[in-house]
Amino acid sequence: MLEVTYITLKVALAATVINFPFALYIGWMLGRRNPRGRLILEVLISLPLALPPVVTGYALLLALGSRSPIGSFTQFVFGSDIIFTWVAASLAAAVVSFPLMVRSIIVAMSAVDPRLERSARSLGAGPMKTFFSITLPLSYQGVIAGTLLGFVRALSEFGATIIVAGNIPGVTQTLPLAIFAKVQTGRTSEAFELVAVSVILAVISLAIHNWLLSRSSNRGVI
Amino acid sequence: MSSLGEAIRLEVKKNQGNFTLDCELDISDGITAIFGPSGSGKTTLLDCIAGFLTPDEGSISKFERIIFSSDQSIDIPPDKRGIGYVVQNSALFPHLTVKENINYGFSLTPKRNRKYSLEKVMEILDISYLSERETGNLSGGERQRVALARSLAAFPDILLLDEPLASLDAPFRGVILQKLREIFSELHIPMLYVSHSISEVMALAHRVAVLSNGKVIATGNVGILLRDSNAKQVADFASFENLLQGTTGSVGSYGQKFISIGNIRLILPDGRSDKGETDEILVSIRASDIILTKVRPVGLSARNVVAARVKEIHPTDTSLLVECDIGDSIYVEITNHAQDELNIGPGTEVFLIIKASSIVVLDN
Repeated sequence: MLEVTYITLKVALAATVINFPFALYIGWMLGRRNPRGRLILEVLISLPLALPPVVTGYALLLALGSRSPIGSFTQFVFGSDIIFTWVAASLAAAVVSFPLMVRSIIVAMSAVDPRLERSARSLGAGPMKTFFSITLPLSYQGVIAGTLLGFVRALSEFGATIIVAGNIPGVTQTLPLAIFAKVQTGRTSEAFELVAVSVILAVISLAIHNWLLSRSSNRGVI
Repeated sequence: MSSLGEAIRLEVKKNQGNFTLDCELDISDGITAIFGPSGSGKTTLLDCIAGFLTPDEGSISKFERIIFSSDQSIDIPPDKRGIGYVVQNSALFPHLTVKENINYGFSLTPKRNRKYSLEKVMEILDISYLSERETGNLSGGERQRVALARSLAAFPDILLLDEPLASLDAPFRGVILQKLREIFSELHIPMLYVSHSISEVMALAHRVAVLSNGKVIATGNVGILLRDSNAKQVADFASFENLLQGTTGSVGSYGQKFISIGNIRLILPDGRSDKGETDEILVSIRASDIILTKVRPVGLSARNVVAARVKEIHPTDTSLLVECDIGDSIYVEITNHAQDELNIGPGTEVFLIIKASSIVVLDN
């Protein structure tokens, strides 16, 4: 049980870390700017939310498999492709949790008054300085909340993971996959223990998430 | 005064939906007002100068240095233009204290380029006492002074002001107007002051450019607002106020407060005792609140009767504004009908009757 929990946390954490810089950048772009092709970008980002995770997983499998460009690259560098490794599980969790993360960040950033950023610019701050001294401090609660939401989603990822990472005990078997295996083989009491762990992790993350959101709405940031 | 040529020289076209800004303008040193009704393109013009809007074509230079040119593909970003921008709602950073707000641009300026200290700026704007405060509970006037200080502390070559008084109550407006004058006399930063209030423009600016439908229709000293027929069309004279600066004092057995403006003295309304013996203050008197007569009136309840000489008569679309010399200029609104009877002209000696209660002291 400890091992499963450890793998689950490792995979979800890695997924969140991979996602964070991209989510921040795209959240800023869609929340603060009005880029060309906004609609296409928004649809693309939200697609994993609307598709069955199994479909997302299959797409990832094709993208990462040994016959794909990415697959042959990893083959060349690491000597094998990353299918059926915990890295693949992380990537699957990352793709599926990305929309949730980015959508919260868009909401948080679009609530920042653009006049503040303009003021910062006319006071001599470049775009990066403006982002880190004005935009981010005024939206960080929403950003953290979105990140947590993405983390929670990554914890519970199942469909895409099982396709690209399989269900290998001690390697890629996360809590949802382990529960699935236990239920399949009729080991219900063991399944229950894992369910309890899942519930505890989810409750803690969601509690922090909601606490952050209520704090930021009190301050009028969201 | 700088001898580096025009502060701003621009020639821009910017299309925004069904509105087009099409401007050619030279702005020299001093305080220049961009005057025009709302929707005339004033803010669009400032945004182009500050670098927040990219003109479709044209060029903008600041003291002979090109900051935008469509021909040469030059578009210096806002943070590199050295142009300060103070907006109507102040836009103070809510997560920073007053001091941190003011320090924002200051800390981004290399030490060798700092022309004055943070303390000096806070002193001019009289906000040292606010230093450690959060921005959330400041009054409108305080917010605007902090915004001005923040802008000045970034050492701009030019300061753009977009209706900085529009959201303020009367007493605060006077303070900000005073402060803008002080800033100019102490730091000599050229200012571009956008306003739709003819009274403010006449009280503050040295020169004015009149904007209407995205085009500059008149430029010159502020007097053109009363003389130029194009400029007069966009000016709203109905609420014209005289904004006059003077020195306060007290006199007589009642200890009445008065203000000296030019070569006249006006008794102020009662209930103002917080000010010291001699203080520079700004007062507002509506042109329509002043009565003009040709003979010295006697037996009046109004406390203020002063002698003046007519300098010029400016017809507006509904009435006449009589410019009278009291050492300073004061404007009195009279009807065409009244003029038929009075028959005054430049040089006529007149008396002005001003009720103390119609004098609004613009100061907190």
